[in-house]
Amino acid sequence: MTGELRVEHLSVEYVKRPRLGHKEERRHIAVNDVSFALPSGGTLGIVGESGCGKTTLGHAVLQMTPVSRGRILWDGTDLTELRGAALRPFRRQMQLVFQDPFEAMNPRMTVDRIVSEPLHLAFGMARSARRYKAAELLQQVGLDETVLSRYPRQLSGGQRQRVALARALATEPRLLVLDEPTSGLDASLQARTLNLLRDLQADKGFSTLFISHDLSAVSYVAHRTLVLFGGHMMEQGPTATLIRGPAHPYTAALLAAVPVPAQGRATTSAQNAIPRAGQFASTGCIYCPWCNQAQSRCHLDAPIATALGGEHLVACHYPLPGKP
Amino acid sequence: MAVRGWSQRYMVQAASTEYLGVVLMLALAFFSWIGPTLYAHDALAIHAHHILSAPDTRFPLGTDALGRDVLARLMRGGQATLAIAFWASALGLFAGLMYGMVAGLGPAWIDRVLMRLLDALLAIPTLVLMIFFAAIMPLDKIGLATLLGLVSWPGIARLARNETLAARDRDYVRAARQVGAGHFYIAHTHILRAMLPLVIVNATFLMADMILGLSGLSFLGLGIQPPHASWGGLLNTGAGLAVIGSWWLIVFPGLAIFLAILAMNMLGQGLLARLNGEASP
Repeated sequence: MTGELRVEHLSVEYVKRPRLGHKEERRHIAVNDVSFALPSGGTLGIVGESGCGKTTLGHAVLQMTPVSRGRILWDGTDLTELRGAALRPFRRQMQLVFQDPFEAMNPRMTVDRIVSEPLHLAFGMARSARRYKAAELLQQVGLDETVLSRYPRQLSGGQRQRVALARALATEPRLLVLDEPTSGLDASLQARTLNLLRDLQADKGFSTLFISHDLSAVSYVAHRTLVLFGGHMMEQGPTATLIRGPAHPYTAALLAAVPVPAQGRATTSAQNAIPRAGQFASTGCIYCPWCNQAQSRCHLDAPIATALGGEHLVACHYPLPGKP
Repeated sequence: MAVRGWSQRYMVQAASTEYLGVVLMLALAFFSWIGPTLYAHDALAIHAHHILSAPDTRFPLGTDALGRDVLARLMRGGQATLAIAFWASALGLFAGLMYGMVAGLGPAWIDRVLMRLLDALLAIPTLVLMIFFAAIMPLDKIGLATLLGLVSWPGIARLARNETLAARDRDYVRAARQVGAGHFYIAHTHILRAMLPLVIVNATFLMADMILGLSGLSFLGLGIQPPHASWGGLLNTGAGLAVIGSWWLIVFPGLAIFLAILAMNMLGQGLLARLNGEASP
């Protein structure tokens, strides 16, 4: 068991049944034809603004939301074909740290019960052993035993984040999906959380799917980065390549929006401000209504992801000249 | 300052409502179960020379048409009424919670079938249903508790189903599924926990309903059969005689029913107010 994840042409589509008096059903495509590979122990960053489908993508990989098309291969097993009990052993190998750790904890349970729930359900561990193991897990994320008897509302934001992480680690996962793990934390706590994640990953060797809107956080932890816009993959490649020479105009706009401290420059001009997802083009490139490089071809046919050399893929007819 | 003083006073009042309810209910239970051991007269003993005697020092609440002590009968009647109402509520609560959680956690088609069935049941007036069953077979205490319980669960079932639907897509429930939790674990650990406060509140209102329902049945002569007493039964036998002046035969059983329902409603209202104001300590 190595723990390699391959996602092939994954689409997640929500269909609303037609209402009385309306003929056609309404569709919303949250994730559209996204492919990527995550080798064992690697970290893939998924970047995009809110509503671009990055959380849905994470949930789809974990089989928490139904997949419309495509395959999710975990060590060669297609998870989309498995149901119920057959899926259970795989679920334990992949865990999610929810975007809002407070929502992911039962408010009427103590930290002890929250962290030991997976130990009970996944391993059938006895109560006394669970408490011991829960304390050990908390120690690994930098918390001491005193939080065991507290309720979620008695914890600080950073503590909650760590408890959520400890709980996710309880089943000894091979893949961890982190949904915006640094949002809602202040800058120093963000840095500490990212360092903690790196240390844990080096220690335990799990792979990470790091979902974030924060390009600087992603660049700190991810080996590879995938840029998502309106459910479509815009660009993906080694993080360093993407940061140094973005080939897609959208990636360039995202990079330009990253605030750089101590230089005192305005973050972005209005011209290349990050567009709001909402009304997407029906034909052609999904990004072209906001793109400052768009030409007539972009409005007519949608670009297909093409390799720019090595593992750098971009879905654009006129990629920006990358720096080597 | 004035506003704060007012709200503090309001909090004290809101808190004392349920305490008053509990105290009243405990007093009624003490009256019904401990009362007979402290009181000289027996509920079934006939005092042939004291038929329909008004309240006096020997019979504090008077006697009935057969010369039986009303206070003693009120105590014994309280035992039957409160016990049956309690067990009927427990049964209704259990059945309703099970039904509601199955509907809420199961696939969509099960939910749809179970809810339409519930609508059909709710369309039949409860009292008519109870009279129908009580009339076709004579019922003992256990039978009465079962009957009342079986007609009372639809309201709880609907509440439980709605609360289950609200809780099942919470992140902490999804997190539990991700580590291998099944429906049964989710139901008894997370969903029951989430709806417990609301369930407790509704259980008290249900108990008040059961007291009233049982009294109604007994008043119609379908409840506890003579010579055994129940509050509703005492009202039934007393109603005809009250019009010719024996007022004590209906005032005291009526008062007992009123106080019991008041106690349960106060408890329920107080808990509900506390539940809605959960954010403030």
